[in-house]
Amino acid sequence: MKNLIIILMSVCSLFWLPPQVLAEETSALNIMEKVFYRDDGLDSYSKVEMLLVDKKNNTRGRILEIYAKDYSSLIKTFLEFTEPADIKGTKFLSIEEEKADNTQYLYLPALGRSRRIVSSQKNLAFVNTDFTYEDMQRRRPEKDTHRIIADEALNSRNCVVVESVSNDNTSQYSKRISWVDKESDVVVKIEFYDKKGKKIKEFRVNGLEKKDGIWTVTDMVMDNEKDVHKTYMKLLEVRYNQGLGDDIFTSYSLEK
Amino acid sequence: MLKEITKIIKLLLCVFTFEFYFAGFVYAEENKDVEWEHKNAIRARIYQDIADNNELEDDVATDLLFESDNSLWFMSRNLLFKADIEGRIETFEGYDSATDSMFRIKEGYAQFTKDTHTFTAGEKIVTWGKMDDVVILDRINPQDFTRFILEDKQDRKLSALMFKYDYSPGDWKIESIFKPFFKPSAVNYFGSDWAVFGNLKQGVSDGNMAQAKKDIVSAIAVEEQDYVTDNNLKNSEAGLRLTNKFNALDYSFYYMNIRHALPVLKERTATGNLVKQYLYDPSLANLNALEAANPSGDDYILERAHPRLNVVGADWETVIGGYGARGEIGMFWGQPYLREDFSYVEKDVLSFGLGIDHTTANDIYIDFQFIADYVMDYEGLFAQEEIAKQFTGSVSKNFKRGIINLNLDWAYSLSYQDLMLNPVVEYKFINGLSVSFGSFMFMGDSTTTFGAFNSKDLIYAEMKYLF
Repeated sequence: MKNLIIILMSVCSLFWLPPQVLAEETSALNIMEKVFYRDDGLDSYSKVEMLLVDKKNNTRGRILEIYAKDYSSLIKTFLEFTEPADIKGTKFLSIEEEKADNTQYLYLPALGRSRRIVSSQKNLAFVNTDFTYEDMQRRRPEKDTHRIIADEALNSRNCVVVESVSNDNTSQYSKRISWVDKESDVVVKIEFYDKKGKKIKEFRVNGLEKKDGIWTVTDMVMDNEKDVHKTYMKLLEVRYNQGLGDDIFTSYSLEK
Repeated sequence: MLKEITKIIKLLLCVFTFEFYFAGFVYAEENKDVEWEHKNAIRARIYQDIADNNELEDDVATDLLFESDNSLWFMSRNLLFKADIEGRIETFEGYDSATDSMFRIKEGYAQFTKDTHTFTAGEKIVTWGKMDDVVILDRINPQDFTRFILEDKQDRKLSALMFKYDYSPGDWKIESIFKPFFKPSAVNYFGSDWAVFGNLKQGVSDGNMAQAKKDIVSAIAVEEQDYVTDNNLKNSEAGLRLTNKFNALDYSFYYMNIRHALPVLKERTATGNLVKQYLYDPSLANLNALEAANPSGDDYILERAHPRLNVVGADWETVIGGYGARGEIGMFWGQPYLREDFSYVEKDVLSFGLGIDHTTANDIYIDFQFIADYVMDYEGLFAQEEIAKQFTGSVSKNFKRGIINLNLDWAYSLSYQDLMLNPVVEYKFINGLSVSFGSFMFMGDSTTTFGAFNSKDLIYAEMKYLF
């Protein structure tokens, strides 16, 4: 089951981490599992406008197309930048496996071929956005310990606030605090904390609506407080359950 | 007849490209089933030679390049028409002043996909192999070396007429290529700073040597072998690649039956070897030796040899921890060389390359490659050791989220101690405009690849606009 914006999904998934001790923790895990496994379509196509804004309010826009498909134990995502010209043709393929490291390929037009890239360097920025490669991956709930820390309204949505800490130190973050919308099971806000426990980034959903019966984030921002930089993402188009073929999600399709 | 057919094909491609360019947008707008993708670039470079050690060289050169890449997709028919064009104006200021211009179709082909089958026909560029900016198995297309390596490998590639069929049912795929005619790499031997023998002829002609010696040098000529340049099916080439993956390892196997695209000079007579000896080492002693041999007629004629090569190879790529690793290996039967007496000879060669890349915690990208060639049945060869070893690599770092980019490309031959350095700093403005400042430095003995241009140390400024 896939949602529109991979990044969205990944960001959202970061927050779907489970607990282990008490009923409260079990409940927190359940919440994050509901987030992770919620219906976001068997496959999806989305077109997204990305806006990078620096501290002087200089902006750089990008358009990207995202194809995603759920294979139950596998999730495959294909992404292509279509604008502007200096990044046009850059393609990215991610294959997320349940019990293995992710496989990622990057196609750069200047190289003329796709290259398998290191997915373990999660703290690096993805194509100069405020999203890291870790943010680009859906993090499975069982990789974290979750704890409900509050129940509060956010932008008129009733949310459960869940704190998630990595079980095995595989995250670049010391913890994440997620606001999960009770109605849609979508994470509508996340705070990211570095290893020193300092808040460094905040992800916010500014638009959430049902498309084809599926809760879909239509507008969001990753606010990098450390670098005073923001990445906005706005959904221009989305289509679910189109019966996407498998041929898109191969390294061969990157080079076509 | 075949020549005429080739001309007609090229003419049709030209017409098609123009139609494409001017009508593509309108057509795509009117037909929702049709999608027109395009990308244009204007690039202006100015080079300054900073090593004033050869009066015949150009002091300043400019290079204005226009590129337009166009793809027209007929979605419901799974049909793609590709038409990329390139135009260029260059000026050279120095010992002489000159202007050169060029227009060509960079790529022009049609591609049809049906399920797992893809058919392509036309002038196309193919990238095979896993190594960056070096050639081991990436031999389907010839390259343009008339500017040596001032352009990256992908930009140096020349399209070639081919028919390509790909079968890709899943993670594995087969690619087969048939090129009906041979197209050699573009190399100048005389008359430019980047020619193999530079401005040797002009230097002798304008110098104060005896007229007899000037006449000898003037008579030297490098010619293409007729049977090679004829668009003859006997010159056809073919390639096959099988690609698959095993766990985290991507790999491919290759077979190619091709011609050696980069020419090697072949003598018509034994005296021709003395001609080559003088060209590669233009000393007065070697010219005297040539003069003493009383050259005439075919003695002066050297032919660009492009012998047929049989190639079997493999490449692989994986990720090990935080490192990307890749490699290529190829066995080449019939690679051309010159013996120490400059006579032409063909040898079997085993080549392999290993590459590792890594991005550090502070986002510095480092790429390192090792390439080695082993010449079998070795005998004394000119500028070629039995085992030749070379290192290449790059280091890059961007600042301000890719607005400022630093990059250093380098190559060093362990066997011949020649070196190339290409540092560049780039600043990207908003809206596709960027400026760069860079340098090319070549060091080494004059008989080595980079050392041959050791008098050409350049700095350059570039302005590029992508739209």
